Amino acid sequence: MNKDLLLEIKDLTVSVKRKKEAVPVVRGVDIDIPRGGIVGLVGESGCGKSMTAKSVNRILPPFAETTGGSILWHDSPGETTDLLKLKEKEIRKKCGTEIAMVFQEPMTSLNPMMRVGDQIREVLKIHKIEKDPAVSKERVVKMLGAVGIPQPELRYNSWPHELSGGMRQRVMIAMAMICSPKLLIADEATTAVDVTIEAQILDLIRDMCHASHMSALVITHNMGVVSAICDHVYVMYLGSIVEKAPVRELFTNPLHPYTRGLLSSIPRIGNNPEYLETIPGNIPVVRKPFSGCDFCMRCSDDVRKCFMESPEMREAGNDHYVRCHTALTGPDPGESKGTE
Amino acid sequence: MSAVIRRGLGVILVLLGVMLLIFVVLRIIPGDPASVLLNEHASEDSIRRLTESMGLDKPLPVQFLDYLKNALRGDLGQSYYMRKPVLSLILTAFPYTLKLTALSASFAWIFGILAGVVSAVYHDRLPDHLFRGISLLGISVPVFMVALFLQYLMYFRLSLLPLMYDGSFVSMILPAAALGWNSAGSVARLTRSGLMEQLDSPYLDTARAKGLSTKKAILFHGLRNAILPVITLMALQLSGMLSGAVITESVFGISGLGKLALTAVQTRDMPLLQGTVLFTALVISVGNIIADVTNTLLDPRLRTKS
Amino acid sequence: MKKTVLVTSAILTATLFLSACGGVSPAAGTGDAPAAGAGSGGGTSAGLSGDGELRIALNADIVNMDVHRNTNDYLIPMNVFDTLFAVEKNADGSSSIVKSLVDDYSISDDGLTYSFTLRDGVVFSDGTPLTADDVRFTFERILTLPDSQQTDYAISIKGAQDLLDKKADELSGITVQDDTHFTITLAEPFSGFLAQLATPSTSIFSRSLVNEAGEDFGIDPKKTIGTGPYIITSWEQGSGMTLEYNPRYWGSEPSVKKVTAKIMDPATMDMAFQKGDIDILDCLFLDSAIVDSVYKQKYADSIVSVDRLGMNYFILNEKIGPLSDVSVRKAIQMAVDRQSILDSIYSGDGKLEDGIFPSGCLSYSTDNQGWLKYDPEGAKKLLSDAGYPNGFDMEVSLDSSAAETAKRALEIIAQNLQDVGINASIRSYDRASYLDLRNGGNMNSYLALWLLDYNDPDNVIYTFFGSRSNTVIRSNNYPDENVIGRIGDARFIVDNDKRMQEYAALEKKLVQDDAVWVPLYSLKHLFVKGERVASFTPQWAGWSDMYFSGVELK
Repeated sequence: MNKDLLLEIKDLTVSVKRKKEAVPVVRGVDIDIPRGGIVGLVGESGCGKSMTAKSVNRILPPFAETTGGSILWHDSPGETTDLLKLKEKEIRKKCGTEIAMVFQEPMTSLNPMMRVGDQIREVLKIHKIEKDPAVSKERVVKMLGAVGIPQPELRYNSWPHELSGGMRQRVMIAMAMICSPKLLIADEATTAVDVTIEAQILDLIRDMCHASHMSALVITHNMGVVSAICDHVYVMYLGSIVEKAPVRELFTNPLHPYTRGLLSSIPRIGNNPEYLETIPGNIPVVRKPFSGCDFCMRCSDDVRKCFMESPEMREAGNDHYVRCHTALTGPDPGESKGTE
Repeated sequence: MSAVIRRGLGVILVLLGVMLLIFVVLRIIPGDPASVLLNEHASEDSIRRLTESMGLDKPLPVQFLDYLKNALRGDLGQSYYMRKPVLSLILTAFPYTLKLTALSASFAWIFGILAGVVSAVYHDRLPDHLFRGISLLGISVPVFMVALFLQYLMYFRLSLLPLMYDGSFVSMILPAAALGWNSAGSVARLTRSGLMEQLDSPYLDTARAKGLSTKKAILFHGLRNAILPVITLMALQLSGMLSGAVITESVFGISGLGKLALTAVQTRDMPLLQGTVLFTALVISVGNIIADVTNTLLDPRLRTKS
Repeated sequence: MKKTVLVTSAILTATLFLSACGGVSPAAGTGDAPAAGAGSGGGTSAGLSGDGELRIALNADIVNMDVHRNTNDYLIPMNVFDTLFAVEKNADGSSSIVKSLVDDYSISDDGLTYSFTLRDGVVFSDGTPLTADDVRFTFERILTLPDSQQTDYAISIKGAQDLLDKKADELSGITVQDDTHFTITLAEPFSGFLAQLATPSTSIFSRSLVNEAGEDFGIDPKKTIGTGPYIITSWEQGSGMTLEYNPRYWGSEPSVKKVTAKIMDPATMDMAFQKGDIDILDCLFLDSAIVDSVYKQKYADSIVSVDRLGMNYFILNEKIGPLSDVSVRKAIQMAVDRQSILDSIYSGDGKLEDGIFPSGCLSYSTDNQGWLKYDPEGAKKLLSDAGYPNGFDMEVSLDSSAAETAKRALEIIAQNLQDVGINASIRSYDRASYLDLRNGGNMNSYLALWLLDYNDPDNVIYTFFGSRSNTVIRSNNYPDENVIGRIGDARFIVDNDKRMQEYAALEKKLVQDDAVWVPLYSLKHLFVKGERVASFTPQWAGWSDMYFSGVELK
């Protein structure tokens, strides 16, 4: 289906230098972000979702680098650029103006030595928008108001440590939105705030996306966040996408064992209060090359085939895709390897 | 405001304590100024006469109170050895030390911060090792050796710079380099470690996400945070330099405070020694206060708390 | 960290290489003019600082230009002031007293009254005429200034003691007849008096100018005015001074018209001389190893040496422990290997001395030389006979501000003593504490150097043994009152031969019979003259301070 896509991540590989070895942490990831759509990227800590996001605006840490694939940016239908091929100067031009990012920890993500208003205004200064300081300040104050900060003219001069966690996150959003970007990447944006604030922040993001036809890539490990604002969701495990579907479809019909595990591990009121569902095992630390399915060690539906062959992404209808041998057909009783 | 007053009182107490201490110590230790002045041609008689004329035969508390009374009026006594009022000697010597300090500090801080930044940005690569090596040399090699070496290299071998201070700016370059190298080393190391700590900070990611290049992000955001302890260090270094760099001044022939103090010690010139010690104590106290105040002023997190 | 150390060593090596290249450019640039240092790779030696300028280095700053107030710095008194008489060195090495400010004089038969006629037309550098009254003023000031250090030079004048004790307010021994005629009467005859009048200590001051200057005399160059060949144009305390020729000087015009003296430490002096920025280098300030390896090789033809009128002694304190036993002291005299010190530390530039009066001194007695031999075995035997077969403890005191050579000499002496069983240990004191200990009569043993102020035996023997308080101040504590009395009386012996005989006898008694100290050696004083200096005559007694009028520039 040819939707109007803003961003296409194709076959992206990111490797990390660990003791002179290059270990791939993002392996052949494909993500489509439609114009005006909110896409969720879900997975456990360490699965590579942050690395994927940081490849887009190229703020990977020095020990990581993209080793393959392309990130296609469709400026307007017909005009396409591969972000990975851009030079440093060119990608920096896009950062803050067309692509913006909101981070997890607003206390440490804001410079403690600068007033919050100045930090937001810095975006305008860097990109030489609005030379007149009075006008640019006005714009910042308006933005602060738009994100729901009371008394924005006063708050302009506040220091980060004078604000609460929720306010700081709003400041981060104001900083991201000030140039009306086409894509907002929210990297675990609500992980560090409490539930009520989280709801407000999510509402804010969704409203701003709808109001300005802005796309968003929401990265989280929290399925609840996904269900709150995302249209589409990608599930990531160990550097690969294992399932992707529209949100409603995923929640009503989760196919991949990992997805099912994630959904069932959300504590629900009414369920057994003493026993929490978990997915057995952990993400392995050292990734040795393995020809089978990455998840099979922790999977309860696995068969012998899962050890030998890595599954392909297969369509399950309704724009729902899954990478699993048994998901579409169900486990073969004869082939089950038994209990562990 | 009351904090400032409190600090001011503290300084006065320190100065009084210093005055008392140096007064007593000078009169306890062996070495009598009359003998030193008369040197080889001393005789019992002449020593006695000279001692009397210096007023050193009066009881200790009387001497101290006299001194205190005069000091409050701004009269720090007269140097035995140089026969001039102590205060005027100090005020004549101080500008030289001030000039040396100004040039030295500028060199130290500019080079130190630059070196520290380069070291942090290119850490563990060649520029880092180069600058760390130079800083290490600056910190570990004694000033005397540095001074002599620079003289040997720049004057003797390469004929680039004058041997001793002769009033011109050019002749202050070597002494400033010799004195500043040590401070530069400390500043470089502290800047490097401070900046490297900041290199992992998330706000640098934010800055890059806003469109700043990595280098600019480090300079504008990272350095701003890392520089705080360095500024405190610089304030302390300044007060150290202002109290007189004895060795540098001696080797290069600069008639500053350090040289003056050294002469006073060697000749047991009590009024001069008391005067220079007092002055030094004042400079260092004030320097410490400035360091504290700067720290509070610069770090907004400290400011709003108080 | 390892990599850093590697790079550090690389930097060090690189700079060593760098310093090896870029050869020494001799005599390039002045070192005075500010920007002159700017790299002229091989400058011409064509006297850039021409016009008769002499550049020298001092190892310490002058404290006070007023000679009445200090006895260390004679540079200014020697060049800015004049004395009534002067000393000239003869071709054969001996010296004689010649007239300077005095035009004519006569001495009465009883040796008590000296009549003088001052030279005509002598003025101070500002034009004030010199009169006999100024002479009177000078000597009265020596006695009345509270911190005067030169009282010894006026004490022999009649009425001096009264003036000193404030019993009179005039010096009765000096009478002024008119502007150019005056007489000085002594309390007792003293044949060294004229010699005293030839030392910088008795520089003649102007009554009016000194009174006008008040406390600034000796401190402010503009107010320290004399009759001598030079005036002080500037004095930067701690840095150096400049002198310029006094156009009103009564004597012959010297070759040197301007003097720049800068304070430097030894390493700096060495560099500056080799660069051509200093014209006369005083080897006394340098390490003797450098003198031997560099100057005696490269600059052998430019070395000027003079015998110093003075010698070194190793003083023994008779009040401390076994040193009260004369046999012990004699043993120590035999235990010190003086020749080895002379050879190893001073490269043999000097000669052994066996008495009190060094060679060159008027009372030098060849009869009293040659008796002391280095004999460690004999020393050991003496010690054991005296009751110290296992030696004893002894402290050798060191002045930490002393020259390197003195320290090394003491080390050899201590080693010599240890070799004969005495447990000698060197203890270092800073100058003030050192003086304190010595002046209190409590210093165990130490190295003393005495350079004669004027060529009269009294100048040396009286200083150490002439009075009870002097024996205390010099920490020898010599007990024999009879001998002390004879020393005082010897000043007044009129007949010169008889006087010299008495001094010879006293020398024998003190050094050979009573073994008061270990006489060591007298040394040569070496100077190196730079390219621009044609000839240079050091001061006759071998002082570091020099008469600039005695330097001839090319």
